[in-house]
Amino acid sequence: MRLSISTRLIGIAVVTTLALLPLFGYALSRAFLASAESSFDRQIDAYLLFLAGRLDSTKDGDIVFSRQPGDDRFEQLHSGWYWQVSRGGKVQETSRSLWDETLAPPQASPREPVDLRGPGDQALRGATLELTLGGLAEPVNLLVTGPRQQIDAEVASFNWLLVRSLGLLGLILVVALVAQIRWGLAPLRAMTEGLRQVRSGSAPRLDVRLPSDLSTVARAMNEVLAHQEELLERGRSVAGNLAHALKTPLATIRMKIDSLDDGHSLRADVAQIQRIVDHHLTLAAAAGRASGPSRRSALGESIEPVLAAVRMLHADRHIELRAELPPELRVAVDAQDLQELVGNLLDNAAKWARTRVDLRATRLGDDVLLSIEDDGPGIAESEREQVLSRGLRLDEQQPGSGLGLAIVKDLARLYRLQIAFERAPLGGLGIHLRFPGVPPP
Amino acid sequence: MRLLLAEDDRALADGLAGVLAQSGFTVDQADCGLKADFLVRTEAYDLVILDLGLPRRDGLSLLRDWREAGYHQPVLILTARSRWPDKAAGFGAGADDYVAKPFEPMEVVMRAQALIRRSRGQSQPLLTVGAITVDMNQGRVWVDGRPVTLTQQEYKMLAYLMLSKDRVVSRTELIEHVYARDRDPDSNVVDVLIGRIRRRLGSELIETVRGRGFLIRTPDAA
Repeated sequence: MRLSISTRLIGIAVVTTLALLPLFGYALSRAFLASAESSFDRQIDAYLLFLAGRLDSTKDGDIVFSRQPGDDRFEQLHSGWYWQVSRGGKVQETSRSLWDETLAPPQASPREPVDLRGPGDQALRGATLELTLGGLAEPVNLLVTGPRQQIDAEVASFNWLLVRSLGLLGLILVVALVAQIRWGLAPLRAMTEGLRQVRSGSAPRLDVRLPSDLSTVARAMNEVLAHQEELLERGRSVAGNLAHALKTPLATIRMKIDSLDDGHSLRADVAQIQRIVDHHLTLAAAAGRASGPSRRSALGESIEPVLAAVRMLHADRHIELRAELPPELRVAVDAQDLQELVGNLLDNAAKWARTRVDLRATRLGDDVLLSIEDDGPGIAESEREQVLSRGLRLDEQQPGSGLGLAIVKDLARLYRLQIAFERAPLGGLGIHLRFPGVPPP
Repeated sequence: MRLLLAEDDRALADGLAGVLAQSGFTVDQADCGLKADFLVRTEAYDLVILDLGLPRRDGLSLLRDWREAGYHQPVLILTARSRWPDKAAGFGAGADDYVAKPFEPMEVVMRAQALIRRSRGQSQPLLTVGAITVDMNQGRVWVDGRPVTLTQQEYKMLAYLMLSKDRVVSRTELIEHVYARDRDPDSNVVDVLIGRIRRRLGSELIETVRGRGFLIRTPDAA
């Protein structure tokens, strides 16, 4: 499956954020640790120098402090803050906090921080200093430590703060990125929606009021649409011209047949040619429209001129043609095809009617139902099915072109309309055409 | 009845003109839009049969122009354009009838006769004045129920006067509506023909209005 552009962009953004933020956090945490350790070390070093400055020796070689460090932490038992003075590997003096224990002197350069273990496996950090006291042959070794736990606690609380703030930052970043991508890609979605509308017929062309890079694409697409329409139009007009060009010679032939003895079978041949020409003319005219971007037609507005035409064509027969066409009804059929469809049905009804033809359009749920009824002889129920399966050839006995219902069948199939026949309340044939509902524009 | 057949296909026009002439029409032909326009504006036709695909001037725009200019002769459109949008456009432009090619020649004849009758306010094909009955579709005449045979010219003249009943028709008008454009008969011919009709149908049917022309009067309108 191909990922959408927004999924890709969001994916990259999230992965980058999720990978970079912990790295960044780790580096910050390391830096803080280093800083905390160095501040701790400076403290130790200060104590070291303080103690060293107050260390002295008696005449008999004992080591004494001229003054003890005043810090309480060196008094509290096992506080981690210890000092220890040793000479020749032997511990001479310790802070009170060590009580009766001693620390194993670490192997380290003087005044360099070193990690070591104290009583009860306590983690300590400290430094040593070697000094030579007056009157003593052997150098004195001074060790000062503090609890490592103090650094760890500071680092842990810093880390917790870091995790929380980086987490929040990550969240904000991801939300902002998603919003940015959504907003950035909104014109693409608008264009998709525009294409959908063109496809469904509610807009003739794509709106080109888009960001400049996309509007170029939309313009190019519009050109393709125009080109496609032009091709369709050309094909349609070629088919139309051909059909029309055939009809005049056909009319001449039809006229000459009347003067022949053996005219009857030829007349049927001419009718057959006419049927084929009309069939293909209808298909050529409608095919592009029915399958391409469909058009909506206002039912009343499209049918009104056809009603006038049918009234004129049957003026001699004094048929009353009543129409009830609510002006708001619309169907997803091209206006010309709708006229062709309804014109043929009305013409057929008017041919058979005795006095009256009713045309009525009603809403049926989302769909539109168009009913045409006449008070003519109608069709027996057993024959109604054949009307469709035989291509509606019933009106061949009537004068006139007699091919109208075959065209109705072609168009109904193209537009996937349902046709139903019944006995009309007026007594004749009732034809019901059901048009699928038109989605609101 | 005189009509103009505006059709550019020679074979079709000649064939149809023949059928129409046999049915009692006097037929003028125009093979292009400009000629049709000129003839409609200069001659008196009872009907125009108009092809839409005429060279030089499109039939539909011709028809619109005529209606706009106040020419109200009945127009029957005869065209290869058989689709209903075209028919609707044809009637919208002012046509009175529409026949798609290929057609039954007799259907055109019947429709032409009906159009002329309707344009004279006569909806039924049978016209009766006094003892005389004329079947405008069949071209037959009865006196007191007894069939009478007239020559084609006699019939044309009688039919025109019947359709124009209760109105004085001048000799010129009679000639215009009975003879084709290229014939220019002496106006005496009219008096000769009227005389023959009177001899067959009785002298009281057609009145002579001195200095103006002839008149068929319906008894109740008298």
